[in-house]
Amino acid sequence: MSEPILKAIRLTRHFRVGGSLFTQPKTLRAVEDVSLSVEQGETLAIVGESGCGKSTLARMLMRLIEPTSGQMLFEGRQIDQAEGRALTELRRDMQFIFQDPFSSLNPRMSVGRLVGEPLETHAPGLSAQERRAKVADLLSQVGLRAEHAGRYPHEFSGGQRQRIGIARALASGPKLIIGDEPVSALDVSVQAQVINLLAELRDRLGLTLVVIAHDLAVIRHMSDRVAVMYLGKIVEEGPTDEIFAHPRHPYTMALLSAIPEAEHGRTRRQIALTGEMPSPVDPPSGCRFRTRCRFARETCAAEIPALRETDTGPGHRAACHFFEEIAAEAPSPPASAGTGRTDAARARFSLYADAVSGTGIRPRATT
Amino acid sequence: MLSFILRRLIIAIPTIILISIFVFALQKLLPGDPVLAMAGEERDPATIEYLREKYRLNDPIPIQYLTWVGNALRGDLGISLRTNQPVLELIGQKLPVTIQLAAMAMIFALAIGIPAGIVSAIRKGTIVDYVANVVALSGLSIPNFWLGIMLILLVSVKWQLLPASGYVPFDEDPLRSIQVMIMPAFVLGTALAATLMRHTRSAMLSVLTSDYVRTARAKGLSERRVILKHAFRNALTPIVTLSALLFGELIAGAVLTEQIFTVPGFGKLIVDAVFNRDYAVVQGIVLVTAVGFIAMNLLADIAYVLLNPRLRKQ
Repeated sequence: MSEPILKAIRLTRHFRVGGSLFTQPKTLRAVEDVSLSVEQGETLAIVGESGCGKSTLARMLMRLIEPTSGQMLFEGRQIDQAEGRALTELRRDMQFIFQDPFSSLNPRMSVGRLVGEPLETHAPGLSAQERRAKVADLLSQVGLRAEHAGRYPHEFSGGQRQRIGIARALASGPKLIIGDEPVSALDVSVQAQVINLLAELRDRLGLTLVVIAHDLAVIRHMSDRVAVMYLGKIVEEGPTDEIFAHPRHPYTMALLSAIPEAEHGRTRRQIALTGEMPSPVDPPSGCRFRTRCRFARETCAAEIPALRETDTGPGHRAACHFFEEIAAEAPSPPASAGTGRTDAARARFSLYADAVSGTGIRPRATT
Repeated sequence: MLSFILRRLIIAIPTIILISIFVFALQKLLPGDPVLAMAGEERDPATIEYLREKYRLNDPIPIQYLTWVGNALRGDLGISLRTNQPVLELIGQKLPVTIQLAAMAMIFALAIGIPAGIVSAIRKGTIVDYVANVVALSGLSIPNFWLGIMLILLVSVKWQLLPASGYVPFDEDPLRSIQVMIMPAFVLGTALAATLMRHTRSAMLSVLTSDYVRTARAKGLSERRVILKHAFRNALTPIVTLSALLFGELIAGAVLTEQIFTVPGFGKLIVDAVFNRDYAVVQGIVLVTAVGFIAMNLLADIAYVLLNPRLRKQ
């Protein structure tokens, strides 16, 4: 693969929380020392439970919030200090799809203006008529009709609004789209449609996607690579199939074992994590996962584990001192998918599979 | 839209009727008899009887009310007991003065309050925000009359920059008219500016953290455009409501301000009428003010609909 389109080097973001006249503010370590790279044309999924810092990471990549430290490169250009024109250019090349399709569209603006506004900024040469034509084209690309341009966001359903959000993100002609839980606010049936749409657009327009999600089924069938986050750090990353087939980090194992399986008579081994995720204000020393890890030993409290290449192939790395031993102890993948599913489950998963192949059913406008 | 306006107008009718009853009843309940005041020292029973008959004060009270309303609807608000001028004519003379004062005060309030509110919301927690808040709080807490007197002392007496009092009609000499009115308008506008600033600030703060403002930033729009087109337009609703409600405060403030700067306006007319028990004038003024207040709120309602597409289709 060539030069990565987006590269983050040791990104860190701390927030100051609390603090009054008499107490010191505390530091919330939302994202700590995260490095990742996204290759041109691939789909990277960032997964983790809520509060693990994945949205903070996405917003930093998008320059919506500033990193406390670390570097970001987009197509080899450093972007963490970009200002003014450089930032505007970055916003053209890199777009964001937000989680909540209800609150992320300005209620006072018609769909045509919402979608057309990026064009005004990024393609100021277009005449009003050309802009209208382009908006109509964008709307049809996401499965809406040109006459929807005159309506307001409140006249649309959740799925349709998310399509508007996607059309808006596409307007500037981006190379990379970051989706922060792009479907989690939608109904399951609509989720599949929007995922299909995203995958289809990715293939047609040659986009690179970074998707933040917590739905592992979505991730498995949509992404090429996965990065698993826990408490502000990446604990494991690698090709999607490898991660799902041979998870190496105990946290990933627990996460995968929690995928619900709608199968009758199938024995499942769910690894129940005990306790809550520790507070990022006061993370555990050493390995951050050790307080909930059933394999934790003394070393885990003393040394911070680095991401290391695993045995399963290039690009699969895990941040655990003992993953070799753990893998030997629990060899079978806790969540194997594909065998003995019910018809309903198969139908849903095949929707996702269609999305990946790009030849799936055409998305239709939802009600 | 038209049916909406019509509906609002129809709703306004009972309000106006209630106000008219209240206004009428109030003067009947007040102690003191205007006829006695007019009859002079001698209190000649014949004169008193003649006056009572003339002003139809011997009719039953409901009849008096209906007569009054009927006349009012025909534009006849009665005759001032003091100057013998028709009340409507009196109001017609004084109202433009106060409208000019109120309009200039409102311009001051909007021009200071809204930008200050926006800036302090954007720079929340910085020194700019604190300074703006302290100034606004001072603007709210300093009484009109004190500020007026201080300004007269400084600007007129000490520096001799602006005249201390008086009035020049706008159509006679616009420049001079504005010059004379600047100080009273500023005094009247400060409290409003402070209120507006505080409300603009809080409305902007809540809008600035909303998701669609984040979307606007992600689009790559300039910060200026994000704030003015996306944030401010959405923050405008409470500001419009407030501006309409402030109209009442404006009239009340005008009463004091016009006294201080001896501006021959509506406020001064009210005070004089109350002191002289000039009931017809008091009634007329209260009625006109109430109708004006209702009209302002109607305008605000229409403005909401224009500003908010979600309300348009209903």
